Amino acid sequence: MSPAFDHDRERDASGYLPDVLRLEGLVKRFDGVAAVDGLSLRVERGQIFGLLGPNGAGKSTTIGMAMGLLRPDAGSVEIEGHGSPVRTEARRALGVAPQSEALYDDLSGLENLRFFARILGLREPSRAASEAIERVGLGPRGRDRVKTYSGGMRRRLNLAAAILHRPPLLLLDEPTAGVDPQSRASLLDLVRSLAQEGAAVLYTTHYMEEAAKLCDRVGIMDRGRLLDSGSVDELLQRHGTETLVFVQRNGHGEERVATRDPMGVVSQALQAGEVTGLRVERPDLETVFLSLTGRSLRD
Amino acid sequence: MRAEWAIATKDLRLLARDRTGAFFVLLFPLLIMVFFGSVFGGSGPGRGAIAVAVTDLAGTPLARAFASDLRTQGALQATIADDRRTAETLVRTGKAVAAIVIPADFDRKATSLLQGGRVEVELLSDPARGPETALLQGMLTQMGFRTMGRILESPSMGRDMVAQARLMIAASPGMTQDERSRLRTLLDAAEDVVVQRTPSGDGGVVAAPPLVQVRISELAREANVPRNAYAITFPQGVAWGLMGCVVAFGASLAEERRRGTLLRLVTAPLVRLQIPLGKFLGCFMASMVVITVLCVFAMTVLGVRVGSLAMLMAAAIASAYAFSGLAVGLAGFFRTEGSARSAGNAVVLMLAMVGGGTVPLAFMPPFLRTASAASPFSWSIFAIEGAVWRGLGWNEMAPSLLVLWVLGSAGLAAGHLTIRTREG
Ligand SMILES: Nc1ncnc2c1ncn2[C@@H]1O[C@H](COP(=O)(O)OP(=O)(O)OP(=O)(O)O)[C@@H](O)[C@H]1O
Ligand SMILES: [Mg+2]
Repeated sequence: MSPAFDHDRERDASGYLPDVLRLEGLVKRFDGVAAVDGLSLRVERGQIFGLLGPNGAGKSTTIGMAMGLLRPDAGSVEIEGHGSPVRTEARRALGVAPQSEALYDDLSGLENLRFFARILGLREPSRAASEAIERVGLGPRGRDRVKTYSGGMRRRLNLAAAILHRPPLLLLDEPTAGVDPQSRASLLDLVRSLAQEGAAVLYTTHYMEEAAKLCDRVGIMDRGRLLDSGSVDELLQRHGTETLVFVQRNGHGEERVATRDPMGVVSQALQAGEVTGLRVERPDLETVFLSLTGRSLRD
Repeated sequence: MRAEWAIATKDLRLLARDRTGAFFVLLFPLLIMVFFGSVFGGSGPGRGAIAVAVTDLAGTPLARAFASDLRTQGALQATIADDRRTAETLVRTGKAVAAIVIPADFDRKATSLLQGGRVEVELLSDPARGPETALLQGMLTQMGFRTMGRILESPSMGRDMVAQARLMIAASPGMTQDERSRLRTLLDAAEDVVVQRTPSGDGGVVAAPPLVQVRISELAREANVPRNAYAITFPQGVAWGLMGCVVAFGASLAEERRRGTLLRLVTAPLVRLQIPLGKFLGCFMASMVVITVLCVFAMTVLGVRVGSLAMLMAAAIASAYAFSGLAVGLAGFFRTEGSARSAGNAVVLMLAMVGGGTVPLAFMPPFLRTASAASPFSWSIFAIEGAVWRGLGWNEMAPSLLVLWVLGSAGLAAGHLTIRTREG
């Protein structure tokens, strides 16, 4: 079966980029405790939306509702042109890479992909499988059983299973967790190129650098709520208000100044003389998170 | 159907690569078949009462007494059948090991004992039940002596017998006068004894030739059905193979849940029914492979001769269908792989034992035999036996095929419903 969405046709017809995924006021409670509490967000075609939050923030629960696996207690999930993912047809538009890899250990990488291609209803499952396995760089190991794969290879295969049918919407739940820096870089490249081809990507992570580098938009999530979202620059403007200036003087330790006027601080320090080292740290998502939640992302 | 097929072939591949699963599905049933076959081949029947059907065509006093002797025998569990056909059906359908037919002339033949009369009791036996048939034959001969004792204990019967003998002596032309008078003296003495009803110990007559002669007729459609113990253990082996499939596939859904692969099935653009259908199809195919392998092995290596291949095929398909339904029902029911494996094993093992998967139904105590109707194993074993050596007709086979079909469909429906509610 051909891809359910034809990006170029849609673009020509409407002339603007519609939302591929729309979450409105989602609530999910487990035993009365809200894991997701009134979350709304939109992901456009070609856009990578990073959902950033600490453990237990509700990222996977959100993804679970987006893929129709969990039924929201309130709110709605809309997939472009298809409505709720509860509908079989709407699920055709989904490519999913769950946080815990969903793979058959006793099948080879290619056999896994061929099987997933078949249940996706693809007309040429073998071709789709070998294309996808090449894309994640696992071609040479395609015929080996998955149980012989390293953690990073499993992650890559998990992602390959999500892109078999070139879906217009990718739901990737921590696709880089536990992957070494090299594999991580190639996975990020892959996600970026998928977005460039037109896919909308909802991407969860708790690596800030990754979110900052990869994502067009970032949502900061904590305790089931989306505290703010926007491009990294927008978030920094809104919440990363203080720049850190580190000044080192002769015979003294490093002095750390948090300020809204880093240029002023620097020129002051230079006028005072005896400066042996000077370092300015731009605020980052960590600072944003700190200012939004009052606690550090890393703990 | 392509997605179901994909799920089924994927599961088969996984099963083939799982050594433990493959062992219980194929190797273990083979061992059961060969092992029990060689054990039963040498020994007699089990300790349970032997189920027999009794038809009394005479209804006369001695015949009735004979029939009631059969009923009170501890070693027998007798069912009264009104006519020969009913008795035959009981044997064919496995409800009785043999049918004992008391002939219409039982009393007349019995009382002409002194003229060399013999009662011929017919034993309609199941050809596969050789050891029990031999035991029954001995039992019937033994009980003939009791009938003889009854004749001698009854004054009127004794007098009739003596009177008949007198007539015969008078009518024998070749006898000398001397012989006649001596025989008459003997008869006078005999009449005295009989009429005065001296309680006769059975011991006094045991030396006489047996009154009841047992004629054994085998109830096979095909005259050449072999008395092969493997013909009994072959259906059992099949049942164990099916059980292996049920456990493997019953746990497979829970395993997919644990591995997270169920998530891919659930988020794929499938209709919910396709998941249980795929599992069902996989189990069905595995079951058919198991049955075929066991069949070929039994027929080529063990020399089991199959009465009707068409019926065997029907029985195999119906059995595979029933057990695949059971597997899907269990799969939907159990949440974790551990519980599916252990509880599934327990449930299936119980059904197997009750259903004749371990001890053949014929050797079971009556209450268990009744309980076995609740187990798909007994229906499956019965259907396969029906095709292999019972020589059943399609009409006798139909009920068990129907029951298997209903069980399979019920399991599939239950599995579908539980999976639908569980996976949202
Ligand atoms: N099936 C469930 N039953 C009960 N509680 C659950 C369930 N799934 C998630 N939760 C709870 O919901 C909250 C959010 O969990 P979720 O998995 O969405 O977090 P997350 O942001 O993905 O965290 P992580 O970064 O660790 O993956 C947690 O408190 C978790 O314990
Ligand atoms: Mg998570």
